[in-house]
Amino acid sequence: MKILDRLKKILLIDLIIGLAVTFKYLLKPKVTVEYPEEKIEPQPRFRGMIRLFKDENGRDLCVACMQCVKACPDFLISIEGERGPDKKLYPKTFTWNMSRCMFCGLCVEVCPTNAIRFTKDYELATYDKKRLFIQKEDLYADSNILEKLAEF
Amino acid sequence: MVQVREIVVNMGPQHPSTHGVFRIKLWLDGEVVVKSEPIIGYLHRGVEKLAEHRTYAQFTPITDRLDYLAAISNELGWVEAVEKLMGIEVPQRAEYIRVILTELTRIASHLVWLGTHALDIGVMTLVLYCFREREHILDIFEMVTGGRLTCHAFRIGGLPQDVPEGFVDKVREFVEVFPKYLSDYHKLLTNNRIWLKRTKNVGIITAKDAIDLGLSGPSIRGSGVKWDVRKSNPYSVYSKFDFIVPTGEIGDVYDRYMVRMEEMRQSCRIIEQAIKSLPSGEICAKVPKIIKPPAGEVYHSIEAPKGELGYYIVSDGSTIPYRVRIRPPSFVNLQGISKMIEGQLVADVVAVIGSLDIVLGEIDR
Amino acid sequence: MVEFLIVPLIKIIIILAFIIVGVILYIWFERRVWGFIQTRLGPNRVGPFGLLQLIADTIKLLIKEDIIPYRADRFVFNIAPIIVIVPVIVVFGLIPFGEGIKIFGIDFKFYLANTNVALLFVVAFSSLAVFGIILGGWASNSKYPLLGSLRSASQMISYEVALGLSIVPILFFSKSLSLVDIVNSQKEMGVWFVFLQPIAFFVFFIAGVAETNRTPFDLPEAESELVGGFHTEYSGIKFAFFFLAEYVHIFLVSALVTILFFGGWLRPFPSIKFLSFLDLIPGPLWFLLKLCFFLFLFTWIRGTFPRYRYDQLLELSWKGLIPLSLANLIVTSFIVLLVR
Repeated sequence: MKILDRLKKILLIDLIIGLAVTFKYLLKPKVTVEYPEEKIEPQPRFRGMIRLFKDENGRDLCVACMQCVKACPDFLISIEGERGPDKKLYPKTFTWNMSRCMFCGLCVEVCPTNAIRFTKDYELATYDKKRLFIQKEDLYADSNILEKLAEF
Repeated sequence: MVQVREIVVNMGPQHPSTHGVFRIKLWLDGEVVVKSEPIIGYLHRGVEKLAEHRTYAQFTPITDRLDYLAAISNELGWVEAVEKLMGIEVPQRAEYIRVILTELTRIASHLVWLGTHALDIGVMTLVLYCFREREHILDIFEMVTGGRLTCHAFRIGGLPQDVPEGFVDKVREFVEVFPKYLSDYHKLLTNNRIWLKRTKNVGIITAKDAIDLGLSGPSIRGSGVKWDVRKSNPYSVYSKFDFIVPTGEIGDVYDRYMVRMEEMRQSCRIIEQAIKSLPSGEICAKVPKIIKPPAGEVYHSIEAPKGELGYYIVSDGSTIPYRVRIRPPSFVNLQGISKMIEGQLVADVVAVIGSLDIVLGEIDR
Repeated sequence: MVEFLIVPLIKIIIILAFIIVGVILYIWFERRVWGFIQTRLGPNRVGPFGLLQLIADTIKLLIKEDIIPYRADRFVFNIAPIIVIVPVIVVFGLIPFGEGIKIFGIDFKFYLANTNVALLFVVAFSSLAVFGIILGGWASNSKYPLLGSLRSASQMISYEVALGLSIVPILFFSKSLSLVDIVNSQKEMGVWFVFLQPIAFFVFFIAGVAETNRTPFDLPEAESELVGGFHTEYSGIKFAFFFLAEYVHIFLVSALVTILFFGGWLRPFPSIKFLSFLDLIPGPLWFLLKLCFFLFLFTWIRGTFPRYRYDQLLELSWKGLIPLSLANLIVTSFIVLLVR
């Protein structure tokens, strides 16, 4: 054993094994995903931007119950409720401050009508911080808030 | 007259290899370190004060951000402490899934440690390999919770929703592939003569000093002390799994490295056993909507990847805790650094900081 | 008249072009190879396959602000990069790339000059680069560069001795210090010197890696410890000079290894007639192929190994390489004496 160890030390076997490992990876396929031409699709439960949803008649699912306002750890949502013509509450204004949101999901979890949900949008960078106070009209699923945020 | 003076070198908050905004002042005599003084506080965010104005459920995502590289284990400590205070019994299926996610977090945290530690000593390729493995783990987290880094996976009483289909298969696939990558890392480093020369007999701390200073985690296990909270005060369902706790001998950087590498393999074993015996059933206990624990205090500690993470909660009976004190493992481990680098060269300071595995998010809170 | 003035001028232009283009291609090659070793793609956006990346980097470095630290020694601070880069470029005039061809009746040799002390001149002149490093670190008036430059000075001096001692056994076989004669004697003996002197090659290669401040011996510029070593305070074109000088030095060491140990421009096994069909590949092309292999070896080693600590580095030289090369010298001289 001693002679074998000595021989291994002289012939630099430990260094050559290390070189062989890196050489093996030189020939393997690469894991780079070339953004923005290729993008990885997020998984179904991904916590992207929050949006408000309407039911099939076009009515707001949100009933201004204020549960999400109480649940948020940073008090980022503010709602003004109002009674509509059918005597049900709906939100007159719904402001979401995205600048400090940590996307924790407590508001989505407590909503009783499933009105506020996560989407898969993660490209939310913007040049102006004032655009991060998002109002109700921009939170619906068909709004163009992403283009407005990315404007120069 | 030629005067011989010590120079004071500041390895400042902006430095490529102090992990985070850590500052240490070194008094050097040539290249030998004579005295050292660590200075912290550059990442203080007032987390313990925030806890006094948030409810118990609202504070859970904030505990994620303490040790941001191993987010889920921080949450485990917090929810278990609150459950201990309220006397809630978590269903078995939730406990098993909690253990699987926590052990995956342990592997992820050790992978970051390995990559950055090797990078400090000069190996530039290991970082990318470790982060590639970490991507697999983060994909599993994204599948279960929706977040990759700060996951908010646990709720008080269990989990928010059941794991999706394909979770067990993906975890099993990962656990089968991972030991091969681990053996690649061993081939690159463990017997490499340059690595041995850089890490053997460097940064030694004896077992007696380690116990006196209160170190925990791999930093104390490297010195030969067999202290692991999962074995000594078992929490969750760890008493049902069969795993060994690796220890070193001398307490130098090489021993701590070997302890962490072996811990990764043991975590794989725990995950395998957990998947095999995953029970079915409920996912969350019956917890009232408004969480109001009885007045009292509780201390609960878990074995985070960096050491013993403890939560001390004082409750006055309302929905908001009166005081939360977090015992971060890296803060206490950092006390050992002055002893470890006395008399060593400047190049060893970097190796020792890397082997202690500190995260400034925990230290400064 | 033409021979004395125009031909050397053309050769100078060719050598300078070779160095600049070669360094640019080498840095691109190095970054791609590091990327591949790390399972990622290297730079591949600027230009086809990222070939113009280095031109973009050079332009960026040239237009940066020139910062001189407070109370630094201005004159020395400014000439230190020049002292580092000039010796290594000048020495390239002595490196032979091939034998020579006859164009229009003029004998166009593939080297600029062929003195009979070429090897000594190359080793001595390229060691002047140490001065630039020491002066650069001292003139920066700051602690980190000072530490880096002192480390680098002692490292380079120790490995110079090992370098010089390891090439002495070659002279037993070639009986001349001229680089062209060394290659020709390898042709006469019919075998590359690496097969006769493997230990000398080993010592020379390691000393060469240490001379150029590359991993595993790159402590003077260890980014993770001293932030930047001796070139911490430099910015803009002076930093570009330091950077370039290191790569030209790598070219020089690789070229020396091919000439001294691997036959320069000869094909493998020059004495076996059976393989003379390999002569279809011209001499300079063989030289470039061997050069590329050693450049790849430099890159591969950099991507794999950790770096030595400062005192272990010096220990390796004084307690390891120098006794080894001395022993090699004594044993070789005995054997040569017995054979003759």
